[in-house]
Amino acid sequence: MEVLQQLILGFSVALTPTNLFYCFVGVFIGTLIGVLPGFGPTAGIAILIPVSLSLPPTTALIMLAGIYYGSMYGGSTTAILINTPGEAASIPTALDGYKMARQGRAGPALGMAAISSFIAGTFSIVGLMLLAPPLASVALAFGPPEYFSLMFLGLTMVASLAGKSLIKGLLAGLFGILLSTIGMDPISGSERFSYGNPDLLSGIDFISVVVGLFAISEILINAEESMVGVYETKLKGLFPTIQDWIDCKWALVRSSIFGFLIGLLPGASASIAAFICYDLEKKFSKHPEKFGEGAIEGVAAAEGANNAAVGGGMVPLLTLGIPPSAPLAILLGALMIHGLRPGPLLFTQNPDFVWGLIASMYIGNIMLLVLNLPLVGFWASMIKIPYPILAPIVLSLCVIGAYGARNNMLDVWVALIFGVIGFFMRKLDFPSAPVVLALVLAPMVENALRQSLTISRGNILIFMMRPISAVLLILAAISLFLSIYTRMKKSSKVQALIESSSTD
Amino acid sequence: MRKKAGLILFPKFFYFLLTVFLLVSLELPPSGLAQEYPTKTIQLIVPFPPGGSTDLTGRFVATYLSKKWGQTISVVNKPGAGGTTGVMFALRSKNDGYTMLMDVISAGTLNPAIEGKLPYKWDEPTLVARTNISPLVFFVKGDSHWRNLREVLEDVKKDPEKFTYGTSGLGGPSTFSIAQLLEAAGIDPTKVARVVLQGGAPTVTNVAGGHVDFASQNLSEVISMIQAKKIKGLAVTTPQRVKQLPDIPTSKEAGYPAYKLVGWNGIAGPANLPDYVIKKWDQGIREIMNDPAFVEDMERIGAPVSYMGPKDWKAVLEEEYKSAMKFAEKLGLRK
Amino acid sequence: MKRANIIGALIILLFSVLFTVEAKKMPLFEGASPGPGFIPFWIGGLVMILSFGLLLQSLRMDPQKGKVPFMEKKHGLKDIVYITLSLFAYCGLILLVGYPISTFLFLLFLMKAVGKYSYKFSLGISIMATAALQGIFNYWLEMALPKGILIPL
Repeated sequence: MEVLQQLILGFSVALTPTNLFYCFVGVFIGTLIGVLPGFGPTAGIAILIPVSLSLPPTTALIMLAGIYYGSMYGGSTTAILINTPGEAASIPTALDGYKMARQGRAGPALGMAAISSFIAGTFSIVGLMLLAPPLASVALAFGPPEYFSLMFLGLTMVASLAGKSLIKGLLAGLFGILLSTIGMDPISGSERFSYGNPDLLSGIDFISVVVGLFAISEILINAEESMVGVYETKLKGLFPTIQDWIDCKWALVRSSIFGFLIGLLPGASASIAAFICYDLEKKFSKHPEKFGEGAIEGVAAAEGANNAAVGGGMVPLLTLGIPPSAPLAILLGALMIHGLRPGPLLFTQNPDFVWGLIASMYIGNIMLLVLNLPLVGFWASMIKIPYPILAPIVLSLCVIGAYGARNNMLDVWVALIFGVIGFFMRKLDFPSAPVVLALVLAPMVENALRQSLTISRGNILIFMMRPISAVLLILAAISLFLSIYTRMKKSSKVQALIESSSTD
Repeated sequence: MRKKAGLILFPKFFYFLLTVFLLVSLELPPSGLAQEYPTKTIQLIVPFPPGGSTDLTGRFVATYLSKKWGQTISVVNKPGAGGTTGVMFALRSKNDGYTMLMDVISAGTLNPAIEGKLPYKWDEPTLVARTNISPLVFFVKGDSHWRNLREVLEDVKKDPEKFTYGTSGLGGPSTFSIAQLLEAAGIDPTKVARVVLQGGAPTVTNVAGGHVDFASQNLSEVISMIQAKKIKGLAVTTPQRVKQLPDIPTSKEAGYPAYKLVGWNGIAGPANLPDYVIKKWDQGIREIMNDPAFVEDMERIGAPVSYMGPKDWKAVLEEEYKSAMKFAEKLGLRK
Repeated sequence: MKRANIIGALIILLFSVLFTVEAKKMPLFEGASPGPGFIPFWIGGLVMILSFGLLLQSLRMDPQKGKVPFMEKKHGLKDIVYITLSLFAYCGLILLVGYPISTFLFLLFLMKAVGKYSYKFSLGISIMATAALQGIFNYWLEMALPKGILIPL
């Protein structure tokens, strides 16, 4: 089989000592950077591009790809340990992973994150290998109406992330949408809600909101207790149990497949894949109410999806030269600096590069696992640092993280303000995840909506007239319906429980 | 007794450590002597996120000049508001030559033409030297029935409202070049639907997928898709054909010489930049232009070098700004 | 808790009214497609309606249901205020004197005021942590941290 031959060629490229070394360096540094709150793959790759410039192209790309994987994993680590997702894709991981950490199950959470990342990542690389060229044409079929429907599908997840009160969840999501409109409108150029302030003109960066809403507010909430005993200090095991594996098996399968498919759509980033697969798992689960309270399946689904999306994202990058997300855009820039021009001809013109890269992605995944599983114990024990010492340091890291996204002090103030807002939101039972979800998705939804209506000259039916878009919208409707239905079923189940207990 | 001793010892020790610490972190102030510029790290502000064409250009310039001057030039990305954030940051920095700007056509002349309330004027930054141009390429879907530019424009002229074109942003070179072209063909640009997309890559995929009919984008953004025949290039805006795509006629050859907007990058600085800074950079850029490695690197990212000194460049930009203002008003873009 | 909920709903309501009013000033349509004001206006309106609904829901809330007071332990309030104020002061300080000094002072303050550690311990940890942070970000990653105006560090 030709593919196998190519792959062997690729491994011969990837397994040279230099390339192996730099793969390791990339994964290691990437993980370290990802562990810092607010830093995710985008920052990691951007910071290390200058270093990669002095290396030969294939080696440089292998290192950068390692950084990408590493920082995604690092972002998950902070998500689980201190409720600070390194980037949007780790938010669902934080929802359940952090709860698990509080319960003393940081080890299993971290372990499951690593392993599901590996499994899903490997799967997506296989998919990339076998299906890249045909999938590229699928990617091209996505125009603005299809994007609108896809993002809209993502937004319906707000309903399932809403927690106890649907109205509060909806308000949180809508708030996120409003936040996303601050700044310069990308389509008409008018300034919205920025009142002449050039910093506000660049809009609210979601990293600062994430850092504020998740990390800073968490510390403020914990400050109310006497700052001791935040984490259940007795670590309940370092690895997922057999029962955990049984619970997660379908999550792994589903998140691998769907994460890959969603990841390959240009414009769909790993975060969308993570959210949708998390929600998917919740819908398929027999105990949806466990999600958000420490369900390991949530971690498996989210982590699997975001790594699968990396492989999927490489499809349009390598075959069309279209980077589907910010970190891959930087990767693309790095490629161009090294004189490689991704596109349909990359596979034929530079096969050793492409297959070397693919092979090193396998190796990177393995290295991630080998590197991080032993470190799970290390990271988990970081929590043992007394909270009054850990918290101020984390706060300082948050300040850097918020600043580092765009080198803009405004982002730090935003993070602080959202830390306070997040504190009050927690107190009043408003969920935080919908805010960030909406903040990330709403701009894309709005743009896609306006672009589609420009194309159709104002005809709303365009969304239903195009097959892919129509299918996605129907899925969105089903998703909404299911979320609301589960919610009602849950409350009637609870009602029944209350009634049955009160008759005792 | 021990406690008291601790109190006495400690503050001194503490101050000592603090002083050491501060000294280590301090950067010595520049000597300020013109002959010795640069004496410390220079920040080159790139008003866009990493990976884009301006960013890559900035990184190349920084790398080559750093080597030449023996002093680090570090690229700092300050993205936001289509380039405005970065420009404002540079303008507000000290004009000592240690903060410079990698300028680009959109932030330089096009945004000021569109946005009346932009916080800076086009001629506020000190223009030092142009580094390169970015040819634009007009293209349609790969399997489209149109074979040349004339066919496209004739069809559009017959029924403009039936057609759509994509632009990579709201007022960048893509929009203005299409406006130039349509006007030259006698078509009212406002009649054809303009779909504003986010960036060059989506614009290319949208044309390749047939969601919009045509577009005009930077060379670097279209090369690979053209080579793979997913899109078809019908004209370039430069006076000569482009090396990487020799089969595409120039706009003049295609019959529409007015379609001639090219993007550019150049070095600029805060207002009232001292002469010795301008001279140093101008000379530095001229020198790296003669470095074949630099030239080749820039070619690879689709930004062929094209030096222009401060005075000439300013004159060209003034022309460009006026023309952009005209189109901005005509297209109803100006606010 | 009921009072807190009501206040919260009112704040959201107020915010949404402001937003919607501002949004109305922008064009709602541009040609055939929505303009910049479209989404903010309608979403703002939706928030107004929902927050009003939340207000009603809060008003009807049974004050006895789950007697969860807003702030559980009063002494926690002091810590929270300390942390919040010092965070803002910290960032302001960074703009004046740069990252290293501010971080050092910030850590020191929190460890003393909230962590209630001894001076010696707090100083030690603060110095070490600041050095480590400065080392990682300034030297190793070469990130540009905001420079202070008074003392450019």
